[in-house]
Amino acid sequence: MMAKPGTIGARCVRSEDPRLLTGRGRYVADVHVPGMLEVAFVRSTVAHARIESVDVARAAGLADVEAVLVSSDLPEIHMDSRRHPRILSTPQAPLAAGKARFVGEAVAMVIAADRYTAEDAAEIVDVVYSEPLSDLDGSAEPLFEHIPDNVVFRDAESYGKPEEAFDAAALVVAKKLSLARQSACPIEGRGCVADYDPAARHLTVHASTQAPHRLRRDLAAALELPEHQVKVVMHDVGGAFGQKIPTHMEEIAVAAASMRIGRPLRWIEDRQENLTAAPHSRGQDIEVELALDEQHRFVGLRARIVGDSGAYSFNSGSCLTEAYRTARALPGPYDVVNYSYDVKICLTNRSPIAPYRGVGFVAAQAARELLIDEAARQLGMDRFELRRINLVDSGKLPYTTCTGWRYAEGTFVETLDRVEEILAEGQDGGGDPDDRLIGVGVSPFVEPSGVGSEGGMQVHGLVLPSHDAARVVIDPGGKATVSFGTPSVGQGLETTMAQVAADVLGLEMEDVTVSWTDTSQAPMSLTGTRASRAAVVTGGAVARAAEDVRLQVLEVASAMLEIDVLDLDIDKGRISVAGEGTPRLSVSEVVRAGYFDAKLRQEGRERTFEATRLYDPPASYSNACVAAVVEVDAATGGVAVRRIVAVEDCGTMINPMIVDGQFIGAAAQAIGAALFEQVRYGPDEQPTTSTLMDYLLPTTQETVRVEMEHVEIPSGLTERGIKGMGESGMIGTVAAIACAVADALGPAGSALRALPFAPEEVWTLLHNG
Amino acid sequence: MTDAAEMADVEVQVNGRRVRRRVTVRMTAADFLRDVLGLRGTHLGCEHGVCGACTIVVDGVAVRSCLLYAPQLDGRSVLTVEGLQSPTGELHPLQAAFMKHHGLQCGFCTSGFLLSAFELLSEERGLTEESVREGLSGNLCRCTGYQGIVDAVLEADRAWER
Repeated sequence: MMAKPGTIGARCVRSEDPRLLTGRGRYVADVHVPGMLEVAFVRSTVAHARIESVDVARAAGLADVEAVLVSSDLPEIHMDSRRHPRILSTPQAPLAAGKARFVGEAVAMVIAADRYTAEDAAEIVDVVYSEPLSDLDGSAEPLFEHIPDNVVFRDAESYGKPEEAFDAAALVVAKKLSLARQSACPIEGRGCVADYDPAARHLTVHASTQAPHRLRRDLAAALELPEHQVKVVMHDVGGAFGQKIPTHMEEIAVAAASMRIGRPLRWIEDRQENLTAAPHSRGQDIEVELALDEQHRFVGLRARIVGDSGAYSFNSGSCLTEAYRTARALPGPYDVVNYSYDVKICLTNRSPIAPYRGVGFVAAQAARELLIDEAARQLGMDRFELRRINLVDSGKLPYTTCTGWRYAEGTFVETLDRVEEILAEGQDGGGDPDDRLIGVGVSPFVEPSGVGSEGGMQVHGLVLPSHDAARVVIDPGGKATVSFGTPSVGQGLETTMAQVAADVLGLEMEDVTVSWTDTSQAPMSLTGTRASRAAVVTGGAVARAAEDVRLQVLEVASAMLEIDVLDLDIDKGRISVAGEGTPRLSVSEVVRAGYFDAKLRQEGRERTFEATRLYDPPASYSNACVAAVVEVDAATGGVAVRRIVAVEDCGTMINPMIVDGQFIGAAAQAIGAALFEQVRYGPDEQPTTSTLMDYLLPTTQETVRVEMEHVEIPSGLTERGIKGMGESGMIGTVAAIACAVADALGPAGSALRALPFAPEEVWTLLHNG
Repeated sequence: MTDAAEMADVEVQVNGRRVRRRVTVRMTAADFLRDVLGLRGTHLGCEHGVCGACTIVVDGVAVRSCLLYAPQLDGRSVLTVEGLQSPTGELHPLQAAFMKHHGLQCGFCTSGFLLSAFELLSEERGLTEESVREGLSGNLCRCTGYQGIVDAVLEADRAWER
């Protein structure tokens, strides 16, 4: 079926591209406000120590330094947006008060005329720390007095009868996997411009954020301002990938400082800050066991997971997003009814943990698929076949996993079968050269998509309201403007949301504009652009609002033509009567008449050609299968990815070009995540990956052309059948590559246990067993 | 720090226009372009010469503007992303190809890729995928996985009459 150009399903080029390609994007560092000063933070150089004193005198005396602020200069701020009733809260001040808990934590802030001066001054702020409070002998002081064991969260659940299943099993396999800390590392770091107007008591904040309304809520609460007095402005965001979901303490500090000194302030972090002080992700130790019966069916699954929280349980991103979600996600697309997990999340003297694309799911997927491969190896069984007989096949749908994920639809087996075919078609016949070990990995997965309140409930097992609203308005020129509160952080919402509106309104794509505004104008997005949700949730809200506006247009046209609304249709901006060839009116004529002709106005049913609607979709799940082929160089331990094959099903694709782009981009991130990205700390918890020479990102040299196909089955659950897939390339591909490396190493591969499978890990295994 | 206030004159041709400014000697070329000239299409991703987001072309050579000081531009000719479009507003063949092949998502690294590719295509013709990948290996993109970028540069190689 061919889609109409410029509507849902069209592979059209992006509306935002001309702006971004010509240097006219507006990122937070491009914002200039008259009278603006620059902020540089003084950050802790120690991981855990009491702050004995902070001497700012020399720094404050430099020319062009406006102020140097320490914790006591800012109001006592409480920010607590706990999302699970049982996670222990760790108070965190915007500037460390009393003690520093990780290297990189902000201790003081310099405000100066320009960033050069601000950094000069930051260097001469004299902070005296106590002796380290952490000792290797285990006599460390806890990070917080009220949490003596440093455990901020613990949860154990059991579904079905896992113990009995394991006792009766024909085979039990086990796998241990540690996942290094990684950084989302958007090329644009974090930053904000805060401008407080003391006369109006009004705070305007420009921020590189994924969740403007949530940032407004957090800022208002922390600074004790009414929410309507805080405005967060939306503009271009230079990559985010989850790191920009949380409200950052620096954003609160900069806003509080602007209120204190009454000047607009700008903070743009540098890469060292981004790599050390911005939240990291992953950081888990997982032990999983799988029980199989005589027919090789998965009869039981158990997991013990220890998650790293970093120095704070985090105030809006929360460490739960990693280990806890891993625990809830482990059964995945497989039919396993007996499952138990025990998850514990501990404080460490490192930067806090927050989301990064595929948060929690990446770890679950990697651990589970490596475990399944281990079972296949021990059984001498084909790895596709072992998965095929255990996946939730279409005959079992609808299916609810033991942790409560409800799959109403899905193509788990179909996508696996197709990946196997594509893999076989592309097989090169040549023999392996010496020292080159080839491995194949396969990874079928399911992704909670378009998370609304029900999806949030199913994923987390707790109530987490999440929905979006959108506004559509048609002007007298017959053109539509769409606004919503989910910023585009690269996924092209300016294009896809215009496609949805154009499709529903019957307008040409170029007659619809997405307008980026601010939290005072944009309809509310409760939780922002995250969790593969904007296409589904914002898209659904746009579709609903557009439907309302379409009806208003048709009602006025009906009055003008004296023809029943049901007999009218809009296509390409023109209104026709059913059965007639020539359109009667244009949308512009109708809207103009609606505004200017008083006779057409109707008391009690005023038509503003504008509507705002909210969408809170039912839970939906997209799925895909990814295979990877890798080549291991036995001499160096280096791994090169040779092929990535993906077949995915995200329901209706609004724009297949963008769907491909999301998947391929995430798959590249997965190459880094599986093979080399690693935030490292040295002795005394000093970060040693503070530049992009140390924290390695994939380049054109490590990435490959992704062989991609789609199974497009519109969802029966969501508006327009759309499902989300922004994270899927990451979730599936890390596991596929990990399994491929293990496969290349043969029996030795079973011992791989620390992701990323970096050259040293692989080489050590090959050479020392 | 004693040099922090030292000033120098910079006279430079930027996107075909001659400009003359007095700046502190420690100001980077990137900050000069962005903050002094207001050309904010040049973006800073790492400020230590790895990511390539701030790439500009100086006398035909792609360089990292975060690693150059503004006075080093004196007497030179600079091309930034703002200078790629034709005077009549038409996209450069590279820009058009990036759009067609979805060679950008968030757009933050894009200027650097365009200018690295500009240098690459200025020097060579008839590139293979491998040589494009090699030529762009010094620029980081976190969004696209590079596939669209590589396809765009291959297309621009054919489309750009030069």
